[in-house]
Amino acid sequence: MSTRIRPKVLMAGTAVLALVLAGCGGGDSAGTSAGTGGLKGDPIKLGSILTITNPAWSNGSVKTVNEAWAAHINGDLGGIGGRPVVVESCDDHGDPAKTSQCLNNLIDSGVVALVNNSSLAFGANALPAMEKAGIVNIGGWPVTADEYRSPYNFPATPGAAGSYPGLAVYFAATGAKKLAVAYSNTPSGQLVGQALKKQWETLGGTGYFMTEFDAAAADFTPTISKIASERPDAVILAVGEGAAPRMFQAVKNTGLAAKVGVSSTAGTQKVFQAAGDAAEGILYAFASVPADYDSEDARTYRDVLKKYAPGLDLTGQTAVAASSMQYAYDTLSAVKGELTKESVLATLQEGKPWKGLLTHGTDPKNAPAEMPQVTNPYMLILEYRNGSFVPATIQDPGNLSQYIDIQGDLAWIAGNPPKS
Amino acid sequence: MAVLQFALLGLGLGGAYALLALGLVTIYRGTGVLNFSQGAVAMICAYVFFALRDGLRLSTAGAALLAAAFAVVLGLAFYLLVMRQLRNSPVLARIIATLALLLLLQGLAMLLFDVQTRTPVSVVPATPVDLLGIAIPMDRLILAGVAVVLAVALSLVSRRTRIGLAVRAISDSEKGASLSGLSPVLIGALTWAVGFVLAAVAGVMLSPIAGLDAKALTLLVVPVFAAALIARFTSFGVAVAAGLGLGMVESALQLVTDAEGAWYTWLWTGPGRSQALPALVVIIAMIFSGRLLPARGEVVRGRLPISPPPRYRVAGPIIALAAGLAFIFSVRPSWLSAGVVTLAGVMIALSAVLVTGFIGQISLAQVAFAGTGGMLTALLSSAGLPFLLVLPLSGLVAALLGLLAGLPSLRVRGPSLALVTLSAAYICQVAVFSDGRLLGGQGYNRVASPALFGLELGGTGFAVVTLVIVIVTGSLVAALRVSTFGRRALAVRENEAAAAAAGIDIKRFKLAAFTLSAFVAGVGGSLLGYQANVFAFERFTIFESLHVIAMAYIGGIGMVSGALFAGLGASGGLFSQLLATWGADSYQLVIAGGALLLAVQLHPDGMAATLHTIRERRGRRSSPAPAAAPPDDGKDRSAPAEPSVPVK
Repeated sequence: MSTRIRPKVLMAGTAVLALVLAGCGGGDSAGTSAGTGGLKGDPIKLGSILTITNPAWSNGSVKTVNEAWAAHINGDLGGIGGRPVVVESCDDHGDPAKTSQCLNNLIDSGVVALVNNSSLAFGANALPAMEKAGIVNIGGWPVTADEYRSPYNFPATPGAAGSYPGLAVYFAATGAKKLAVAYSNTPSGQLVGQALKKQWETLGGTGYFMTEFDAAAADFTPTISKIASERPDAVILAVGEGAAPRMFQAVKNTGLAAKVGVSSTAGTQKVFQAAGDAAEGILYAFASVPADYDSEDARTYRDVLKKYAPGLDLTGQTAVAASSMQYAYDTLSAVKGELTKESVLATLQEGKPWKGLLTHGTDPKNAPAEMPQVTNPYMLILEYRNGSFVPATIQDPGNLSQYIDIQGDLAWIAGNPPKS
Repeated sequence: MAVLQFALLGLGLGGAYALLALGLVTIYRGTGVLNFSQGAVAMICAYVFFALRDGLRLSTAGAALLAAAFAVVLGLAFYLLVMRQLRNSPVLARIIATLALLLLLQGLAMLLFDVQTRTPVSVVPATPVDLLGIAIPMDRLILAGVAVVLAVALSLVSRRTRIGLAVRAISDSEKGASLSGLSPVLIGALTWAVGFVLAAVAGVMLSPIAGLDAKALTLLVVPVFAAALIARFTSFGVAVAAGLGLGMVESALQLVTDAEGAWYTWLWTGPGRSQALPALVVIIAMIFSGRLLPARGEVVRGRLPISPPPRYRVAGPIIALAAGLAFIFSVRPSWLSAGVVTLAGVMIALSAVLVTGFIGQISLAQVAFAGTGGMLTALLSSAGLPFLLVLPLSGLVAALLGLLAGLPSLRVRGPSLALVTLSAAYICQVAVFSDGRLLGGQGYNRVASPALFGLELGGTGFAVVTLVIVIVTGSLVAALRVSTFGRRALAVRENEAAAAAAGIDIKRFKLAAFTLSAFVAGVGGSLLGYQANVFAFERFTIFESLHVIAMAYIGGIGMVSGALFAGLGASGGLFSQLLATWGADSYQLVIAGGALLLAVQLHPDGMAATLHTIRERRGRRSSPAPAAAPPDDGKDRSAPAEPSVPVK
């Protein structure tokens, strides 16, 4: 070999060796949960892909709940079959490349399932790879259409797009005839607009208007003014936490008189502080009961998080996260034989209903036609008034009462009537 | 609602564009640099202001003074430490330096401040006022007013003060101004400081309207450039008028750009149609006017990095194949995926080497071509077409788009062409890739698993196939460089007039370059789609385009090895995976931005070019031979040392 080529070969070889050593070695960048509760067995590894460092949406609280509930499972419930549960969370920054990277690294680290996936980028970018790897996701907050259809995704609540059908039913049941919808300018957002249009016609609505917005737009006033010019009776804003304050302010500034509904992801203290009185009267679709609700589930929820995550602000998102972790625990505990990704999938595919925690129970027989993986399409509609949430009532739902399931003093509303 | 009323609603948008454009124009007038980081500077100054006012509870005036001081220091530091050193560097190096600052500032904002979008309380009243029957928040009107007042003030300073005249003198003839005793360095420092203060004003006023986060204002780059371009980067008044106008028209267009419509209305109905307007304005204005960036009388003519003939054209591919196979068969699946992403990144960067490195056309649309390939891959693979057919077909469709995108290159060059291609990429991003209707009724974007001769390719198999494709493409690009095509390409790159006089059909050459490079990028996008089994439309943004060109430049955009460096730095590639393994991925932007800033100064022609220069010097020292023919490396050794007539 010529002397000129040797240094280049050496350099290439060194670079490859370095990458191979890094690639073969262990170590992961994800945060792992502490608190194995003194359990000695091989840990059961679960992964969680979360968007945390992103302007539009932060699920740092979900990561906290993952770790806290794992500590509760290990410390108070004895783990699963005597083995501690460990949740490795990965922040994908809402970035398509990073979300795939998170998934690949979690798979490499040997997780038997994902739990609580709550990511802006996952559904559109890494879901096919998750399916190809044969790994399921339990619970979480689905965002894209594919997450609602994937046979490997098992949300216990309706998630983002799944919230809006329930809101539409509420508006129809309270007399609205014309509905306006604003959604983000993404393919998933467009599907939300189209799906709601079909649903509104089914519900007997006589007018429908939809428009898109760019979440990064410098000013939402033109979009909201366009909606206001249509004079709708009700408006659904498919907006996240990041853009919600400016949307609410635009609603207030334009004097839009219609009732406005959003999903619970926009129901956080940050939004209320930023929006000020512009958040008054906004309707929220929650997948879970309020944190201060008087029930055994809610008490368990409050106690666990007080013990393992004191100081955590309890929101709709933390409630769904706790519910998802409990769903994962109940599912994994029901697995017969060795706990592998295949046995977890098989257990979930049995399609047994789950009673829920803080949420309505699941009913696999009554999944919505366009969201076959959502076996709990029920939401609670709450209105934000004077710093707290109050239930939004329906005086007389008429022929829409089939969409409503009254449990105690709670009126759970689904976006589709039950099949049975 | 009347069109006029709707247009008035766009004053907020327009005010944002106008304020940011003022800073752009100021900096260009003083130093001839297109500052891609103007939005990022606005963002970081806004963070500083609101941290001082809301966090430390300073008064608004006190916070404003300190934020302005911060902007001045940042502007001076950036000019004196970075841009001044790059005065003799290729024009692309100066653009990339501003990109590096953008990345660095975004990374710092994410590390130092809460990255989630905040909506701070406005510094001016925001109660709605009734104007022609509609309610407009007062702060939008004040914003527009401030932009107008600043434009008037800057125009007066420019015409009536010695400093203003000095800036104009430097712009017309730097050498002449120097001979008159004016210091270009002083003027440069001043204009960057003023430009950054204008960005600070924009950031503070805009954040309550647009939201404050690490990305918000940086994403306005295309509309802001459109406004500055209409003003020819010269007139403050026209920049503000253009900014306000663009915002108002964009708002008024919402009356006609509905969310849905029959297929024959898709041109104006659907996502992103009104946002695409500023980009369309840029393209049309450039094509019809031919030139909107005024010539500058710089002492040193802008040039492109060197492009030496490739060495190791046989050994290189063999080493790459051996190293690649060793890697593929020994690493864990997560690293294998990162490796495939790197290889796809190399393909996209090779397309940049072709069109920019060899032919000298600064194209910022390479990732858009890749996205086109990815989109076609999703459609064709869903229709059941096999992998071996989908790959070239996707490349072909991307090539058609490349041919279209290459048309403006017949009229404009250099930074002007960069802006046109960036605008084309922006249109693809906002109005094409995110339009679910183009992916079938369900907006379905899945890509079937690749198969060869009926056998599904697993992760390892696909990686091997990708490696072979990339090595073959790299070899072909290297072979092109030393072919007649390559020599003619360099001739076109160095002096189009001389090349035309020598009988080269410049138009056909440029179009061929764009077409070929788009084909290569399209195949790269297709490979990315097969790797992820999905068309991830959010991967093909203008910022990814800028990232690719920056990384390719640092590696050496005139050389195949430059593409390798760009691939390593691709989002989701090997470097990113390494950072994730070390738990340092939250520092990625800061590391990338800082490294780019250093690299662009230490290696203004690219790292591979620096190695080539070192090798040349060693070769000359070890064997001093009689004077030989000048090496075929793309350097313009015939250029005189004296300043020449500014080239278009």
